Amino acid sequence: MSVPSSISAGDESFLDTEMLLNVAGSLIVVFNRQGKIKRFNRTCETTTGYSEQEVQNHCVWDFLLVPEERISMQGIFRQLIAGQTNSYYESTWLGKAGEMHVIAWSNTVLSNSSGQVEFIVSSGIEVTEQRRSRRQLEGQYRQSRLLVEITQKVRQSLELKEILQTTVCEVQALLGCDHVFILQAPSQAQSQLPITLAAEAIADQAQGPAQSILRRPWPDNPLLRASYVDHYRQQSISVIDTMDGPGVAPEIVQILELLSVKSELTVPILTTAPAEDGLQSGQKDDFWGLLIVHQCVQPRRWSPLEIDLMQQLANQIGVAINHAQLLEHLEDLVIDRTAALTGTNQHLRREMDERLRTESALRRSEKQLRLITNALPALVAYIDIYHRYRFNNYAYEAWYDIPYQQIKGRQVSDIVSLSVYQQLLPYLEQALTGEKVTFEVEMVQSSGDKLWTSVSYIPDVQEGQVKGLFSLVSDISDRKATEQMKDEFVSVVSHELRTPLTSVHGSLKLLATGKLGPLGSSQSQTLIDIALKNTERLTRLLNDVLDLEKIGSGRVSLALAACSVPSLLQNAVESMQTMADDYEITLTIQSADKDVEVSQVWADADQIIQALTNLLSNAIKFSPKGTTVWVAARSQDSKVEFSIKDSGRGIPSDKLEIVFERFQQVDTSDARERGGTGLGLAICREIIQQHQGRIWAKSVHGQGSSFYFTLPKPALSSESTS
Amino acid sequence: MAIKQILMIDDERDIQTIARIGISLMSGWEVLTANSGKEGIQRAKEQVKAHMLDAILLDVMMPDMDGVATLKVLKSDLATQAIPVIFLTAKSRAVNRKQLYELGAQGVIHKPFDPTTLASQISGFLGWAT
Repeated sequence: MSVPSSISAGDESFLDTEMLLNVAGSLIVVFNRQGKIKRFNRTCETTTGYSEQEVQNHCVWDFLLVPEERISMQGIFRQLIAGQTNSYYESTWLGKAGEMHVIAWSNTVLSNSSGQVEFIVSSGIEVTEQRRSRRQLEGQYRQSRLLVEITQKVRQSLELKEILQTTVCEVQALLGCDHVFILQAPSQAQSQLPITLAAEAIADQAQGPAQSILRRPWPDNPLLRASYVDHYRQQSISVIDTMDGPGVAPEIVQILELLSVKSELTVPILTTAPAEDGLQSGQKDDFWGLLIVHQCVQPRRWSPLEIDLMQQLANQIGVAINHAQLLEHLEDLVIDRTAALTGTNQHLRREMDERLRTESALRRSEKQLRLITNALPALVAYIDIYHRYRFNNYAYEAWYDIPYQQIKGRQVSDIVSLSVYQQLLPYLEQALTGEKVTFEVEMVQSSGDKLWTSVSYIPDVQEGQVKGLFSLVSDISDRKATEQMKDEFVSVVSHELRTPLTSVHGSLKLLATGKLGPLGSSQSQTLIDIALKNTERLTRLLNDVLDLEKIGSGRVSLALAACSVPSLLQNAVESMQTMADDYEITLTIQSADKDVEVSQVWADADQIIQALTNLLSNAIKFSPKGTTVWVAARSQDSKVEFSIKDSGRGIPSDKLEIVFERFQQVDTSDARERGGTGLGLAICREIIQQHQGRIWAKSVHGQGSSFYFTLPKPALSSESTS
Repeated sequence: MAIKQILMIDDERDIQTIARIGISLMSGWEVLTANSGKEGIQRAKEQVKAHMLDAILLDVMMPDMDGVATLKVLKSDLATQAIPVIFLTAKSRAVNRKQLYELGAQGVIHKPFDPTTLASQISGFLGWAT
């Protein structure tokens, strides 16, 4: 049919249906109710290449429609016939040359008067290109999505294996290819290690003999052959569409043929090489491995989009590997640091334990120090270079009436009185120069009592420097008193010795002059008597002094035993009988009661007899001629009381105590005349005190004296009746 | 020159005897004795009244009133002030000779003394011709 090339103005004949039909740019087909094509417009003809005559009275599904849409087309048609207006559908036609056309149809039904559909008018537009574009876009979209997913995974997951495996699976699904592999090549430094298959995805339909070859371990696995990898090592992306193409290395061809591969796409995976410390990004790009895609059976042309996708994926994998390496490195660092920290921690723990042990040892030793020093009656302290107390023992409390803990940190001048401090000061300073000092000073206690003390300051020198001093203060008041007493005693004794010595010496000197006439002359005789008497006196004195010393010092061990009281008295009286006769004195033993007859005392018999004879001697010497000296003993509960009474001149009451002291005389009478040493009563007292007894005197001046002493009876268990 | 009259005050009779014999033997002087400070002061006064006292030998260690106390009394009493006093002492190191001289003694003799030289010692202290 002819199509007018132009329309004359005002020509309305164009509106004739026939011409409209063939002028319209859209495809218009009219079908009868059987589905046979009745009209096929010009656009249909030009699109498909079929003329109207060729298609008339055929169904569209006979040869126009692609076979796979036949069933659905028939279904649509039945619906149309039934009156359901299907507004829009697409179908794919096959042109005469075999090309495909996708057409989008809209339909109108023409019904007769009884409502039955007579004709279906379909008008369509070709959307082949659109569909292709859409598919392309969809493909791109899917690829982008894949990339995003994989990128996300790389960002989220640090599991390299996971990332690699996901990549190959997704790529395989997206591209619809047969093999996807990721190979990992060893680093330059470790080139002796084999190439490994890091991930693989093999399409189901591609499972076959090739795969079993691939599963052989290196070096038999063809894919892992070094030569294969090396070929790609330095190169960028390799695209092999067909085997016959130029530039395909023969060894590659060999391997690929072995695997029935027709097309290959290989992308290198590069990582940034780590710098020395592994933390900063290096500058070089390091070859890590390959991302390989294979198409088997049929060759395939890899689209730029696909190639680009692979490149991007390879980049992402590179990033993922970098991350993994970094992580590993960081993990290593963390492990190292943790080990170091653990080591340090253990070391610190050990140090702390050590310190705790030392501290507790120190506390223990301090406690011990305190126990020891607190047990000492002396004052023990540590004084620092500023004259402050750093340590002091418990004794300070009694001494200065301050709680001993309050002394620490205070100045010495705070604690001791000013006058004492002034005396201590030069010694403190001397000690602080490093010199040990010991001296005596009279301290004043809080009670006001004065006390002679011996003070020692011992400097504390550490590494050549004086840090302070140790102070030791001990009470020597007893010693001082004793010393004083001893000094006095010595001076008195020496005087007592010199006196008779003077007499002896003097007498002999005078006699020696020869000027006194013969030895029988009265003066000579006097002098000889004097010499003799005083020699004896000297002897007695020496003996008494030694006795007193011995008894007093406790060096004499008493031979204690149960002694019969009557026999003691008897003994003493008998030994003094001669002296009594000389002085014309009568000695009488008085028995106060019958108990005494059987009484015993726990004593050293010799010592008691000595005491009794001393007392008797005094009594005899001081008694006027012709008088009696009474000796008696009285039994009391646990002791026996002895007494010796004389009728001599007596002792003034104020001297009753001191007569027992050494060298004490009641007056300047002739006690010494009569040969006394002045020690007799002192010796008696020592003896009685050693026996746990008591001795005292009673007297009325001018009417005689009575001397008493007590001795303990033996303990009940050993008492026996004699 | 009249025979010197010496008063000896000492609580030891034997020493008195020895001193007396020694002095009179060697120098012919007369020696009077007293047994205590109190007695000595009394005798001294008596002798001074009778113009019969040239020197006093005084023992330091005596009970009741010792030599130092006796001296003080002698020196404070007008009657006896002028009589020279010589101390006799058995204490050697303990005695403070200086103190005794300061108190007014004109000599110190130590026991044991030599009775044969006693008179000349006294002369020496008191500047008498021997």
